[in-house]
Amino acid sequence: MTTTLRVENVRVQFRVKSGLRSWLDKSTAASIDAVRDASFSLQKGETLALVGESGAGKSTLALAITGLERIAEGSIQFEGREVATMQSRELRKYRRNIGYMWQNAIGSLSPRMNVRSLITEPVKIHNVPNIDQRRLSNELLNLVGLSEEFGNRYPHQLSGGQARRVGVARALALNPQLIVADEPTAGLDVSVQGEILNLLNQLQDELKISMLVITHNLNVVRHTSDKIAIMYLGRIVEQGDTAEIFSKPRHPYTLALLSASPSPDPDMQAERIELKGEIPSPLNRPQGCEFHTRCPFVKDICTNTPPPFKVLSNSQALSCHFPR
Amino acid sequence: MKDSVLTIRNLSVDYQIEAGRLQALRQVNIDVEKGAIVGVVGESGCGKSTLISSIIRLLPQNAIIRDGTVEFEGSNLLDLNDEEIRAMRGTKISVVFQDPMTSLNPVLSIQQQMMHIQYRDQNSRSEKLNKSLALLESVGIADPRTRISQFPHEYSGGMLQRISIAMALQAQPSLLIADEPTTALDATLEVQIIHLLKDIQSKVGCSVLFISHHLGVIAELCDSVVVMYAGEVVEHGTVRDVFHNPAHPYTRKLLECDPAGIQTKTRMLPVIPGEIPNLVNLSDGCIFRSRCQSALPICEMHVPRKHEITSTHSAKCHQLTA
Repeated sequence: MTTTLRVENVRVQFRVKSGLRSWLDKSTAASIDAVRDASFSLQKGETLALVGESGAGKSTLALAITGLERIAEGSIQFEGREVATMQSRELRKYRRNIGYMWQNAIGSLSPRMNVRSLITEPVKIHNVPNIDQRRLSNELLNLVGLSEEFGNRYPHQLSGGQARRVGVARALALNPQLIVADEPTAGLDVSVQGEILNLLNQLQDELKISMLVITHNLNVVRHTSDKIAIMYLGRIVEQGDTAEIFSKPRHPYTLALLSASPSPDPDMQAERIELKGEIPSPLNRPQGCEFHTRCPFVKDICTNTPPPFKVLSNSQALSCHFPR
Repeated sequence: MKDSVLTIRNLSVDYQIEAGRLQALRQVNIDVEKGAIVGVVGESGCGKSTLISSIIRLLPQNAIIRDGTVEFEGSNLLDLNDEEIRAMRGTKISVVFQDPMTSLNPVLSIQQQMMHIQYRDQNSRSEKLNKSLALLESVGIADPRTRISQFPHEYSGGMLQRISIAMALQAQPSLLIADEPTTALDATLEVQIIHLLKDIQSKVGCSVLFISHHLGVIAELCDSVVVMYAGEVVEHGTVRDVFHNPAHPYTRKLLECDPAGIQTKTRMLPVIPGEIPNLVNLSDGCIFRSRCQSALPICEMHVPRKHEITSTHSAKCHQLTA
């Protein structure tokens, strides 16, 4: 199996104070780490899910992979080529390999363009020669399960699920090797969520593309992804095979996320691991294990010594002093 | 039968649009008993926004209330004049909206907003401030004295939703309407907010009308549940009735679709094929027939009547009577 994407110890920083202010006021940090020491690899045709609450750094990591966000440390290799050192011309060429489905399906479509021009826009932007745009748009519409009549509609005439399908078609326009799907089911009705996930599954089986799915809802990725990486405060705290994570979650945060989803059965009051408070600010990272402020199983060592990232088996790895 | 706080009978609301009359709500019946938490399950287009707007009388200009009554504590809300309904809103009935980022004013501090909404009270400024602080404390905002002077952008989404809940409870209303209060929040915060609502409800003793498309949340929080589809109540019962013995094909499908309910890994998730029908110029027949896998010939001809399965459980489907 070939590796499509290899991410190693990536750190993404955001500056929170301008140059002069950070020079004058040294009491607080001038920048925050949105992503810290993130490592994973993605094989061809595989799906990896990045899961975590808002502020965990999922989207930032995805933007860094597409080269839309500069990384401060580490390396991102796409089919063996280093992304971080690419210059703008090279980057533009590189981005053809990646289809991006944005989180806000309707908001990411220009309201003044019809669906046909929206889904062929990537081809125009990248000046792909010898393309019959009408044929391409019809092909793409068929691929995502919309009739050709949809080509003449405008974004406000689409339902949430249809807009999502247009987003998929746009992401596929340049025949990418990797699709990044940022919250593909956010804001969709339960009955439509399945449709979009089935579509992604089906396309992946047919086209053998790799996929990176970003979500805060573990239930969404249970049936779509091969591997899962759980992120907390910019770090990957646990990763492993989807089946393994669901059957044997080891990190307390994973446990909490899994039990956070209430079951549609009133008599099943699952023993829930409820987290106190909210995700801390990256400006003010907790000492020791960064999860200790919300961890229900916290012990003394957690408050002062950061846990190492331990590899448990050939697929599962996590950072916790006391894995379950 | 306990006392009812809210009784909606045969409520039908149309919207006059260019294409004709859009029948957004048709013959809706909902009861909210004193101290009960009633869940409304509905996907987009089921009429839940129209329902809320009818209760608090904030319907847009082109809405026509064709039929029905909304009885609240002995008076029909639909008969009240503007002044009377204004006196109800925020004091007797209050609403927690879906997105706390947009329901609070971004240019006023939390303190200003919490003091403003007490404009009816004759209390002094310091009394109002103390009340606001106590409210914030009761919804679990740490260190309210310093935080109250901050602005909405300085809070996280979960905190803002707590503040919205605190503000909704300020006048100790008898009915709290929660319009998808957890949809914009992360899963771990969702659990916190549900527990908060449950706690507060038992303390304040108000009734709650909780609207959500998240079946798990309804199962956990509510006593009874109303399932709405395309402007109709298709099933109604206690949470156990509806979640253990769903009687309407739509409810059954919806429960099947929920990814949380599917334990084994599958590449093909179940879906409900088709779309919600166009509600303009409706023809006769069951509203769900075009998406129903077990539709009968009679479903094309008549709108199904409400069928009582038990004294607490009812559904509108021809198969139950056939």
